[in-house]
Amino acid sequence: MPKVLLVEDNEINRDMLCRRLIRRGFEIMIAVDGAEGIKMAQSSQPDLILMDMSLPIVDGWEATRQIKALPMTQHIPIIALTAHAMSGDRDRCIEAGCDEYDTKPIEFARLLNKIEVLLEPIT
Amino acid sequence: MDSANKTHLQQIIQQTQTIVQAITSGQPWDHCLSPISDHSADSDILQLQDSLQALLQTVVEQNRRHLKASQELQEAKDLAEAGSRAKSQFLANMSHELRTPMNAILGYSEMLMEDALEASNLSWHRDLSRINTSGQHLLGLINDILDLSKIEAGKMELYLEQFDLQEMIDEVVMTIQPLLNKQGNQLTVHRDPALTTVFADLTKVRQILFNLLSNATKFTDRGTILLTLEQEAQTQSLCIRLTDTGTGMTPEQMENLFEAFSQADSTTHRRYGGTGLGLAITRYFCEMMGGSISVTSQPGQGTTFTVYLPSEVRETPLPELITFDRLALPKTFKEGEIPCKVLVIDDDPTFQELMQRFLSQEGFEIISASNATEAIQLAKEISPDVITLDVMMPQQDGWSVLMQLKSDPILSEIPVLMLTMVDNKGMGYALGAADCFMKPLNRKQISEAVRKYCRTHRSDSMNVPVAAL
Repeated sequence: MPKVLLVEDNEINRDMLCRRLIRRGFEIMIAVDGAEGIKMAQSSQPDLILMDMSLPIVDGWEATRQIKALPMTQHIPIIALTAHAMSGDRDRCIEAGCDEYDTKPIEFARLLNKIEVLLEPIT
Repeated sequence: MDSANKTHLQQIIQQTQTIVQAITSGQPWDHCLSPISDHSADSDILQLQDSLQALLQTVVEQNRRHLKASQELQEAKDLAEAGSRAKSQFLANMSHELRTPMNAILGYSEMLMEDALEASNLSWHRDLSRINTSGQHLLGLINDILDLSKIEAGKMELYLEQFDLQEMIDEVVMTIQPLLNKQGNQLTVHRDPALTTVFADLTKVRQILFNLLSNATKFTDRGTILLTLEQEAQTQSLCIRLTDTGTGMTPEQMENLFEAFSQADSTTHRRYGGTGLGLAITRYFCEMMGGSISVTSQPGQGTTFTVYLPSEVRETPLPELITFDRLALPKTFKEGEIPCKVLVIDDDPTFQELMQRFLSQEGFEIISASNATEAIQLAKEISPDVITLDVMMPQQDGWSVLMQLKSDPILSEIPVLMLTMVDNKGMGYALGAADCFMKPLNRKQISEAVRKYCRTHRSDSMNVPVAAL
């Protein structure tokens, strides 16, 4: 069962995404801010990280940079989730080290597809 | 006339000449003529002296009003620019704020739809899917409005990448299928097998296709829709043609079709809904990528939309604004040709640079001046073929520079194109401008005007072959 770390501060979004992913057979771990996200990426070694970008304490861009800089976590694929969808957002996410990018509101089928593609080398 | 009166007259003439010279060269000048205290002076001469003094007062008063008006304009411009920045920031925030609740509405309703299906509760499933569809509709409207605001704020950007066109079409067709089924429409896709990958903005091409397809199926009832994709080898472009057998449009209805907030008429809105932004956005996206869109239609017979896009899109300037064209190369000259000289008078260095880059690509030689004194001096030194003159400049505004140019016997022949933020053609023509253009400038219009007046000026003044004409 693939392990996914969901880093998201909005409670409703977190609850929804987490339950929908559990239904599809994923094991979900949760972090509510960027700092917790970095810690949990190291301690629980997920197969993939879903990272909201506007996070408290440490934002998603910085959290991604730190995770991608650590030898023990840099291999973990990260999908950035952002509600901005303004010009330059995608570039900024990829620059920070994200492997993929998706916009909110989430199109669940499209997100699942992206998760599967990134998990392929593992499963 | 006795010698005393002759001296008075000469004094008046000399003072007047000094003042005219000072005004023309932008130097400070004395507002009063020296009074004639001689009581035996000729009454006509005294009358002349008084009239000239009155004229000077009027000029001073006019100048003062002018200065005040241009200061007010500058303040209004600053305010407008601050407002525009605030609007962009508001948009970025709004985009986030509006999408976050939509995320929950769409996500939870989808989850509950899955639950309802599992429990075989079909009536719940139907109601929930109505919530979901309405949510998606609302999201579509929000996205359209945000897109249009981004376009208006000049914040829409291109992300160019290589992608598989066939794959994208499959994806769009799959997304549109429920809408087609609902209206009982049959979609046929004709693809050119030679078409594989294109280099363009994937999201925007997808949105163009989606907008046109959803439009076609909205206005077609139990009909057929034909989507044709062809590679046009000659023009290196991709042609997307979409023909439906729907309600069609009259020429009047087609007139404003690609304008924002316009639909065929208000009954259309009541019957079919929508914001009336889809086609305006579609047209803008086509033009942004260097392509075009056109339409033909017969009421009751159906409609055909044709989109042309370059197979390899390049970063090009936006259609309405002057921006730096990175790919165009300066034109080269043949021997014996003298490039047209254009004097650009504008206090804004960014604008000077834009004009420099853009007009030199068109083969003109550009010299820039950033204030009145410099401009007049340069005009005399280089005798340009055309002058472009910004109205809004600190110290001395464009109108007074125009007056100076037109009052100089050597410079008055040079055609002057006024560039203004406000529509004030009447004033421009009255003061002797050749033409007036509103900022932001239309590139094509301004380059054509420069070319036209260059040619007129050359043929009037000298017999030299002109480059870039």
